[in-house]
Amino acid sequence: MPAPPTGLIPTRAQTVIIGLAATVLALGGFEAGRRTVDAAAVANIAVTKPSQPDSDFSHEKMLLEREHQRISVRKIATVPFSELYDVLKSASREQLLAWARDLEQMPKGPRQRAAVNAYYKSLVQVDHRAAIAAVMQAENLNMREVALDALTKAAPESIWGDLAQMTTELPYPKRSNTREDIIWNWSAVDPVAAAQFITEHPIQGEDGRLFSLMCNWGEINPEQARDWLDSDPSRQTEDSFRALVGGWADKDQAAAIQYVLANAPRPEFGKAIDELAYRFFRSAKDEATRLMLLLPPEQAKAAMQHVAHMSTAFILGLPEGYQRPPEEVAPWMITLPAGLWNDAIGNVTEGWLKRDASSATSWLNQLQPDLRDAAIASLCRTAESESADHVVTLGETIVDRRLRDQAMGQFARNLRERREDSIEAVDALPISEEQKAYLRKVMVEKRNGR
Amino acid sequence: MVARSGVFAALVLGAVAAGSFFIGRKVELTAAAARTRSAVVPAPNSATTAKPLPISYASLRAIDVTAFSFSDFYEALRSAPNEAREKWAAELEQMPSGPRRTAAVLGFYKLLIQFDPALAISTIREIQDKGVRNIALEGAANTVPGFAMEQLAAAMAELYEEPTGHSRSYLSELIEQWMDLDPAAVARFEKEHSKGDRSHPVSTEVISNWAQLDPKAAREWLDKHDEWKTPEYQRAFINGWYETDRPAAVSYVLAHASETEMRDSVGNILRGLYYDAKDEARKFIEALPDDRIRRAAFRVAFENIIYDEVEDGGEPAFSPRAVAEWMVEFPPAYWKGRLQEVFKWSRKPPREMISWIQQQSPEIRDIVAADYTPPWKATAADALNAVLEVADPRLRDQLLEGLFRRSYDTPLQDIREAIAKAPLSGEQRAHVLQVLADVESRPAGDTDDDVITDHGSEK
Repeated sequence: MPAPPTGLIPTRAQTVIIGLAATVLALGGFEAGRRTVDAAAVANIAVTKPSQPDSDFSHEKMLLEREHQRISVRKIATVPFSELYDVLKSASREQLLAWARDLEQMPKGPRQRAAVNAYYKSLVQVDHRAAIAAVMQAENLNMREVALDALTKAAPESIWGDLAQMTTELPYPKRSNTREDIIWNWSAVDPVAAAQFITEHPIQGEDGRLFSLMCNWGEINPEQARDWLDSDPSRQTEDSFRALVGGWADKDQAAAIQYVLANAPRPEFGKAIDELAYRFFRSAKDEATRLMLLLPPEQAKAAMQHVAHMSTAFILGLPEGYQRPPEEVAPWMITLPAGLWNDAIGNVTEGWLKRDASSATSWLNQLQPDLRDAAIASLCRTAESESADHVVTLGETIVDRRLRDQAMGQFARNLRERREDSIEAVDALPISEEQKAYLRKVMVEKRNGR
Repeated sequence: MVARSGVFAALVLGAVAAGSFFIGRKVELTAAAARTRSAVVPAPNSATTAKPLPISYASLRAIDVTAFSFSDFYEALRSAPNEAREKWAAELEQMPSGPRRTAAVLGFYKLLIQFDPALAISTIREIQDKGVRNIALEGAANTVPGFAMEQLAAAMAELYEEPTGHSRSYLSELIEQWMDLDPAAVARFEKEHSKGDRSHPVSTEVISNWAQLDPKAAREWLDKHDEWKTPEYQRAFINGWYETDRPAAVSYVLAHASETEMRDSVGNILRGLYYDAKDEARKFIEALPDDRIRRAAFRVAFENIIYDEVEDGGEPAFSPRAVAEWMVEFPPAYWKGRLQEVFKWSRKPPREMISWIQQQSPEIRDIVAADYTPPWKATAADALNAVLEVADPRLRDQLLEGLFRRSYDTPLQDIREAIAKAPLSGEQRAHVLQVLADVESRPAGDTDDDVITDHGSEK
């Protein structure tokens, strides 16, 4: 029997070794094959090409079948909601949040705002918890403000509580008016719940939510709103009462008047009275007159000043028609006792003179003498140097000499901070030397702090 | 023979390895796809496994918009024929006024406008009660899709009653959103609906947005309407252009930096670059023609911005201290006088600002101190006591002068009371009162405001 070849392993052993090697290779190859699969790529493929029924998800396919889903979500602004609804409804929470993150990365500008707006408006209706989570994770704070505004606009009426809760956990909550806007919207449909929320979630410092709440609650149920304010002194701010009274007047003017009259001496009612007076002046002059006559004189005079201010000041952003022209304000004022308007009418007539000197002068000249004196004296006491020619011309015609000297002297003194500078300013006025001498002579000691 | 067996065995083993590799890969691909699908498509839950029948529109009333979930009502409304939607609209108008009706009207029109804007608008037109109509328009404006904004804006221009009190104007809010999508259309709309009381009916925001989206078309519109030289429009255009093509906008502004009308744009660009790219901001400043223009640029850039401490706004660049530190990196000729506003709008305690002033290098410390302005929320006592703690008498007097001269929101009487109560000797109190008297008797020195007004004009 020949000896086996040296160096070769016997056949049985060979078979075992080959078998073992085959097993190891099979296991190793299987595992190596598994590891070559890129899970992220598979995820992308799956997200990009979901298997959905054709008819129901046509737009979803249109949106998602594009090569880069990033492009799709960025072009969301013009996609109808009914089509977005299905896409968002079927997407996972992770995908919804990923889309939100992608929107954050867009270049800032109108396209980003439009896309963020459309996305969050849709998302808050489909899955408001995902929308809240997306806002909470936002790192781009400017974009977050756009998103919050979108949530506040589009939220279904049943989720205000969840959104309000979100504001208690939101970093940098003062960056926008979200807290106030949410309470505004919520209180329009459920003021009691909104009030309860404010009670349970106080905030440090000035609480703008009270104003939002009271505007609506005051109109819906003013007595209930009033009782809620009364129950906690920390709620009793000027703005709270201003909002409550404004809302109350929308519902019941007479009751609103009674309420402010009963509280007129309280300092925190000052703004409320002023605004009520101007509101009535614009929309119900008889009520404005009644209010003025019923108020204590000091409050009535302050309210009259407010009416003059609101109709003559340069205020940005007011709704059209909110400011009334001086030719409407001055005639109303003089229907009231002179003691109430003789500080305020000067601003109004000065504004009128600047707009239309001829008609303003005609109006002043047709007043009965005592009213005319009082109105022109008020003009002198408050006018600016640029109205000097009108002031001097009209001021000289004040019949009551004492009143004339006092009013013209105040005009001259008001020209500058210091008395000696006022004298110089008088010398520079475009009036006669005689008139200048008169002004220097009657100039009073102190400015009246117009 | 042995060699052949070896080759055969090797081939078999190779085939086994290759086959196993591809089987493993296939198995993993299938598993990964399944995992991803389960993440994308919501897993069936109890609601979907035993899915209830959708609510029939026939069984719904309009008020149910507040009772059912959004999805349920949405699906019902979507499936309803127009007659049913019109019936619901009529129901809403008949409801008694109050929060329930408000909620129902808002909810209904927020939905209807989203999938049938034409029907929503025509239904709103039919509403007789002006209050309800306004609420319906507000709801619609809140959710109107981009493609229907023009239709709704036209309807609102005709039907919407602008609030007269504190409320928001929903038409303005709608236009604000619309101009992000189609500023050209908004420009047409604003021109058509101008009440004739504005010489420039198209808002500057429209021009700015337009310049961001399509600067060429925006510029053509301005030229065509002879508005390019209208300062507000030119500023708005450059602001928008900066956002979309920064190098071009910066070059243009630098080329025209000496022109008076360009003053605000120079400052706006500086502010933009400060936030976006500080290195570019430095180059921009140095490229300006002279120090007067640089000073004017600093003024426009940092005088009328909304400062916010980091802990309030989350943006470090917006804090007064960050702005101040950046300014003083430059020669004082650029920023002298400009720190007053920065100090004023700080919400930090006066001591913190004074400490920062003390840390400045001797070369600039006097110039910085000359701008000292107490923070607007500081009480007279806090502001005064912080200054009195300064050991250096010269610096202390400089700060006192700034305090007395620029305590804009603090009545003089409060300052006098704070001086009376301060822990000072008689001599010290007399000195402080003397500084106050000096300030009262001496008007503030000339500012560079006049120079800035004459920006660029070489006299």
